[in-house]
Amino acid sequence: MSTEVEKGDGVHRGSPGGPVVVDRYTAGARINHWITAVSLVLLALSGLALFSPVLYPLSGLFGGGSTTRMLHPWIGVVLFVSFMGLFFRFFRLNLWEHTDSVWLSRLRDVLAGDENKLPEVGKYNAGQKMVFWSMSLLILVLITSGVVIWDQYFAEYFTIDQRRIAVLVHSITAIVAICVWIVHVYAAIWVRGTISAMTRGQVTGGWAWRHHRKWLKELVAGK
Amino acid sequence: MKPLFVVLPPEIRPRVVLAQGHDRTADRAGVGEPVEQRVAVAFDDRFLHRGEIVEEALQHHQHRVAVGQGPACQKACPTQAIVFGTKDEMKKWADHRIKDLKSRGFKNAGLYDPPGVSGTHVMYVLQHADKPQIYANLANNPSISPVVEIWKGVTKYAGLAAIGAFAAIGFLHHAISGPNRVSAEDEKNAERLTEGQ
Repeated sequence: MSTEVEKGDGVHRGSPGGPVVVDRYTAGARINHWITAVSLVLLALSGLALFSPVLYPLSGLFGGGSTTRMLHPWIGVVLFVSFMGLFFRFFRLNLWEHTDSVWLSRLRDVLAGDENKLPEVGKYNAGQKMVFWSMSLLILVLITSGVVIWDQYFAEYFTIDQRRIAVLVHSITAIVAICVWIVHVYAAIWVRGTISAMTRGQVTGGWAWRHHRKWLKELVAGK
Repeated sequence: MKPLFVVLPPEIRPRVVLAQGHDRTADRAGVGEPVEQRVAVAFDDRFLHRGEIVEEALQHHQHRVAVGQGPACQKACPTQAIVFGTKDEMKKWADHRIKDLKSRGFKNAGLYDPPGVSGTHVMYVLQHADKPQIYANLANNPSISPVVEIWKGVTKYAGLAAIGAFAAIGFLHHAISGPNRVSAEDEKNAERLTEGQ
């Protein structure tokens, strides 16, 4: 009974006698991911334009201040719906386990890339799980506080004091989300061979062996 | 009550371009919006941008100022109650009007330029500066909410610093540790694993 394997995951030879290839993300998951990614980047750019006068020129990317203000919440709705899709796709294998705490307590080995000293990892490691759960929480806070300050449609439902608090919460949460996003992108760049998981849906056997051995073993065992 | 004069310094982005009683004139000049709304933008909503209302009035205003014209409301005002100029000029102008008012018995005449919000972009000469609320509910001693101060102050700087720090740590970590590459041995191990089944 495999616990780390998802529908669509698979292991096979790229060509007869060729290297081992592991299917990690289905086309649906990848499309869902990239809609979320594009909206998140657009939200960060337009949000930063509204956040600080220093970054206001970024509003030029969206056709000026008014359009930036108009578009930002709508992109937020797209992100929220899209992220919900990712959430329900991925949450099961992101549930926290005891080995995740062990993995996390050896952060020094993680950062040094000494993965042999760490417990074998399933489809997601503790760092990925933390990105997943923090993004889930942050996006929930962002959409909620965002509605409160969406004056175009909701101004009459909230007092000015509520909106002031909401805009403060919204900006702090957004800053944290951007930092989490930096960790997410950096990890994908630092751990070479990762990005193909989200572009072609596949990783090499060696990548799976090195970083997600438990996942690979269960995949092979269940084949 | 209606303020006698509205004075507009140009070096700023006016959030309020009209005063009570000038709405009809403004409509004729093509910048009309209900006056109360503008006043609300200035005081209750000081830093919560109110979208097009302010933005449009502002752009209209700035386009005119950019070509050396005064704002449309000033031009259209039949009683010339709206004056437009630098803050210093306008303060001098207001002093002159206030002296005049005082000489006519308005003991509490003064300029509405509340220090609690570091002054306003649009100032009003009031006959009763001690009771600004009687003029379309102008805020008496308005101040900026501490929540807004936190948002526009420490949050902005700490937030941008945090983003910068995370990016910098990424670069540093990569420079020190180098990329985390899959080795040929990893690939062999994966092959052995799949073969073994």
